[in-house]
Amino acid sequence: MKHAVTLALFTTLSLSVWAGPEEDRTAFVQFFEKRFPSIALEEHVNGAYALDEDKRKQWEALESGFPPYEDAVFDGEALWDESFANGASYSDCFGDSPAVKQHYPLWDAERGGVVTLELAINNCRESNGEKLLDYTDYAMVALSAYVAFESRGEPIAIEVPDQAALAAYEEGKAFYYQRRGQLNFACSSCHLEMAGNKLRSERLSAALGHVTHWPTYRSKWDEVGPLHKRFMECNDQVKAKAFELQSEEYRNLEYFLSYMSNGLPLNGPTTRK
Amino acid sequence: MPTLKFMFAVLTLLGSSIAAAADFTLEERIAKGYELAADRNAGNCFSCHMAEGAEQPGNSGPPLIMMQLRYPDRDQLKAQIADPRMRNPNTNMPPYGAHHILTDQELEWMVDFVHSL
Amino acid sequence: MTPKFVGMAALSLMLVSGSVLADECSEANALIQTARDAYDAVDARGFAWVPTEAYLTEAKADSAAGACEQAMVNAQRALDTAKAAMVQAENEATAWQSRVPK
Repeated sequence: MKHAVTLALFTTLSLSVWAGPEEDRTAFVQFFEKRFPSIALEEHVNGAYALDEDKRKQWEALESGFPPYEDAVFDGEALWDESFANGASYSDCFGDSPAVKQHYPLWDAERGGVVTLELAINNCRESNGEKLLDYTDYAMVALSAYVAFESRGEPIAIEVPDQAALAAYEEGKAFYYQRRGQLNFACSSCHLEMAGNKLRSERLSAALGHVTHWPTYRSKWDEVGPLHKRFMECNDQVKAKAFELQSEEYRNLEYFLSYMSNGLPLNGPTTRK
Repeated sequence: MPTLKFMFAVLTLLGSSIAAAADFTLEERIAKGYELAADRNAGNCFSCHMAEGAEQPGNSGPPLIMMQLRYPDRDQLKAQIADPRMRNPNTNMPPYGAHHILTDQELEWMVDFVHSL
Repeated sequence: MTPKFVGMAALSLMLVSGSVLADECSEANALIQTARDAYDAVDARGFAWVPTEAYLTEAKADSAAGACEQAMVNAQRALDTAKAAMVQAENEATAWQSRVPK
């Protein structure tokens, strides 16, 4: 009897631990279903263009011509196929198919940290004796653009496999909802609570689907750039001191945010204003 | 017993504050407040609020109309802009005073402008 | 005037003006240090604000240029914003939980 109670208690505890992220995701998705009842969930991968018909038309015209991320995809493919000095290549790290973006970020139990696609690319280079790429380097952006392109249509499949992974997920979740900066905004202030509203003439996009399309060509940047660059920009806009590209803070944030979009199809790279 | 020097200092102070207040007419203060409200690096009010004279205003906050009816007491309007969390802890409006986004002088001009709407 | 006398005079003038300059912004420099410490403390918690750093840079430049009053103004702004950021950091240790959709 005593054992049964202990066992039951133990089961409940461990269940609640594993159910955490999934419960969070369900509530997150329901929030946007309620806020945008006429918009299909999958449509949110198109960000603000899911919410604004006029801007969507301009965007679709741009995407159907020669989209400005095309060169990055081609250059990335060439870099991906190159052999390292030791004769190995990226496929020795990632497998035969470069369509792997749906699994990133992933929890690396050995290293005890969240590994994004960009970090995995550098880890692969390191283990093969190659120089690490700077995260702003065009080669890094091009490689991740190629992987994103090859992974189009794959549903996001992020896992939180153990307690240590859960701790990183929780860090990212706290970051998402914490107000920061002199202007006192959380990520969730604009992209959850105010999603769909207009800031001046710009429509605030929904957080759901935010991670599906990176790297992205952003007109404001006039180049293809990674998700963490957008994180930095968001922090800066609310006058919070930004963190570094691939910092632990941003990797955990990406981990949480990607889990929230689990099941949505990848559609990167793309273009945004 | 105040010394002559002390009284002179008080008089000078009084004189200068009167001069400062008289430096700008109400219209001028309203104009200064409008500039701050429109400036993206200062008030940036029109990002969220529709108001007369606002270019491409956003819609996250209530329109700034009939402000004297909504805030008969100018001090209450100032308190609301300085720290809107006092009335609504979950507001997304920045605390312009509490977070030192505007100086007290700028806040005064802002209040003059918003109260004129 | 002998050259020796001129040299002595110049030396003493330099000493006097040097000590005056060093003393000049001491109050502002102390306030800059206080603000810097407050900024580092909030930065360590991941809640630093962009304007604080800008005010600190301005205050240091003012002090170096001998504009002590302006250095005081900017140092005070740096300290005020760093303190407000710390209040935010302390609130947000738990306040964020109320914003998670249930």
